[in-house]
Amino acid sequence: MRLLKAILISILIITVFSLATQEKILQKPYSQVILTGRGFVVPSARVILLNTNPKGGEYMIAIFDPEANKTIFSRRTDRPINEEVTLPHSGPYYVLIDSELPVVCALKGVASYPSKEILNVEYGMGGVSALLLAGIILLEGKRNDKS
Amino acid sequence: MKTQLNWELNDHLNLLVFIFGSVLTGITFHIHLLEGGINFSVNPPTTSQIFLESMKALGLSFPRLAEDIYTILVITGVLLSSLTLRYDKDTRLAMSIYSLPVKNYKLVLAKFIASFILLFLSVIIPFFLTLFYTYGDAPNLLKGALFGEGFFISYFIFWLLACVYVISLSSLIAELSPNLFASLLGGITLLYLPKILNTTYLPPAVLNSAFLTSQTAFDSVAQKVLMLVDKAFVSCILIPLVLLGMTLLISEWRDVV
Repeated sequence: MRLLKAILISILIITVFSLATQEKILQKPYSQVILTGRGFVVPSARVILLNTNPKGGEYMIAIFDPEANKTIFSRRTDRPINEEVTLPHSGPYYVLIDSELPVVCALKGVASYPSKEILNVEYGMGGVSALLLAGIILLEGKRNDKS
Repeated sequence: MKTQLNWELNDHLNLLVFIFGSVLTGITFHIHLLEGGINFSVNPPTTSQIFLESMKALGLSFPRLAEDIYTILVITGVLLSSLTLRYDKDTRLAMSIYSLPVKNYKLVLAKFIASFILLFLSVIIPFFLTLFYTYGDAPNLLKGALFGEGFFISYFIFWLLACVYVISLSSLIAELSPNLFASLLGGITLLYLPKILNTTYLPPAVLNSAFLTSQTAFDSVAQKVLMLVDKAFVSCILIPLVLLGMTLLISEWRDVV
């Protein structure tokens, strides 16, 4: 029983510290250069600035989200792109570049933040473990009163 | 033996060390996850292939035995085994425990199992908790990576082997040493030595490389797990078993002082 309490306490402390540290760590700058089709894993939802530098000719660039199984950004043009794209959740994304001549694509992080679902998971987990802990302590207190 | 296990698992000091270890590993895992993020290439870039490769990349971006995580694991493990095996002898509580009509090696085995369970829980709970705290908003991919690609069982065995190594070595030191301080110092030194000397055939290096090769070599989950166990067999299964045997033998030979 005491072991269960210890587990719940540590889950609670980890949750509180996670909430505090993630804000701080996600402020670090983020950048990435992509030359051909390439996937990347981001650890949080973020807004990125997509910059391309084509050598000329028409080209196509798309960002694919495997989680929702849809393309979140797609453009076919012959001019440089300078646009903000929102990556709605953490996890892997895939950048597809289709071009005859080489295209340099730079992704720069504008803002990183934990998404709503992550915060729900964290608050939910923390709340449930706190309630369970309170319940166990209350039950133990009642049993001690009786005896 | 069961009662002994129950005592050790519910001991105040052990649980304090457990909370210390799990909170520190949890925060370190979360920092590693948030600072991580890797690139991967897909060939050919079809939808199903992208889905498969992104699950693999997600699984490989989870934290393994990095330097700080290994340090925390070592300190927690050494504290736990020293507290269970050595501290009661220092406080003379062991006099009444070892005089029970139970063989000494059974008591020591119970203490070994208790400290192993606590160390393993203090790693595996924060590991999966922080995974959900970081990638919980991509549930399909996370589920696919953990169960479809077999990363759940692979990481489970990975941390199991690491904990077996740490606990078996530190319990032998605790059983041999004359007091608590010697046991702590000796355990931490011996466990940290391979890291300083860059020894490739002892953990943490051997476990990390075994994990990476096993994940990239095969496609089926069973083969991956078998290769992980095979690569780390000598250092993480054979040596711990020998050390555990020695600990049990010494507990029978040595007087409780």
